[in-house]
Amino acid sequence: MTKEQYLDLLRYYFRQAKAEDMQEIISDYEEHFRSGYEQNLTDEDIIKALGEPKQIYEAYLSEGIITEKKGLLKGDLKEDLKDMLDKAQVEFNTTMKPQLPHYWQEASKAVFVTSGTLAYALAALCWFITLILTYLLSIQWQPLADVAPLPAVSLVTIGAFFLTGVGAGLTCVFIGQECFKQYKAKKAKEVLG
Amino acid sequence: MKTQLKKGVIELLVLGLLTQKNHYGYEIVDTISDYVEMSEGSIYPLLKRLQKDTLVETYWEESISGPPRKYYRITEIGKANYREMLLEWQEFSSAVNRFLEGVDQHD
Repeated sequence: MTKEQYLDLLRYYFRQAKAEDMQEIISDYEEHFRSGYEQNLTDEDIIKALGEPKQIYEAYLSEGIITEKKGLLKGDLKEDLKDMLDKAQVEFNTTMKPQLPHYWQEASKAVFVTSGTLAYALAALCWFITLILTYLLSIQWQPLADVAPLPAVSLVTIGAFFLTGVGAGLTCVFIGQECFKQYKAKKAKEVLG
Repeated sequence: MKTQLKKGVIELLVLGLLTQKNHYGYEIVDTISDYVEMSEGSIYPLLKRLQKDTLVETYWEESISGPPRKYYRITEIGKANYREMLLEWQEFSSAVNRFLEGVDQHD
């Protein structure tokens, strides 16, 4: 067996470990090989003295340095999910995003601006309609002369209607604010690189 | 020799070696394997655990040949731990020796 084959075997056994842990472990053994060469030892001598890669892996397990992660339910679920999200994000940024045309890369920013503006417009519309309807209800507007008038609306009902309208408008304003916050964050990120 | 006992002894030897001087991994492995038979590869997980438990710390130092090497230095906690372990070992081994001498005489 050569050094590379030995290290490959180690990598195989440590495949479930965190990437940075594996990197550190492998680099320790690479250094060991380098030092062995300085003593004029061959790959075979060094490997014989080191012992089986599987034993080394088991030694790391029993020292509690690495934990085996086989599925989502083993180990820390939150860590796993964070790992997955990080990986997905990195993968998107490195593989997907560069392939997208420029306007697609800009899209998320545009989406936030558009939805933000729409939300503000909706809020204005909401309040406008509420005001008009509240006024019309309060004067008991009756445009058609030959239709029986609606029963009188109590002051409490008018008040409740008005407040509902104002609340709906406020909701839209908050949505708009959030959208613009996101847009600004994205823009700041771009400027900062 | 049973591995659990050996593991504890090797830990004692590694800490003892580091109380004298800072060493890089290969030196530690090489020195100890001259005295105790073992798989050299199992020293690195041990060193890693000692580092995790803050008994030792590591630093990088340029080597004359090739890339820098990872050196191990014993910490104050490590030294205290070593003294404690050494005392335990001395008590234990002298008790075992006393016992075995008694067995010899009955032969």
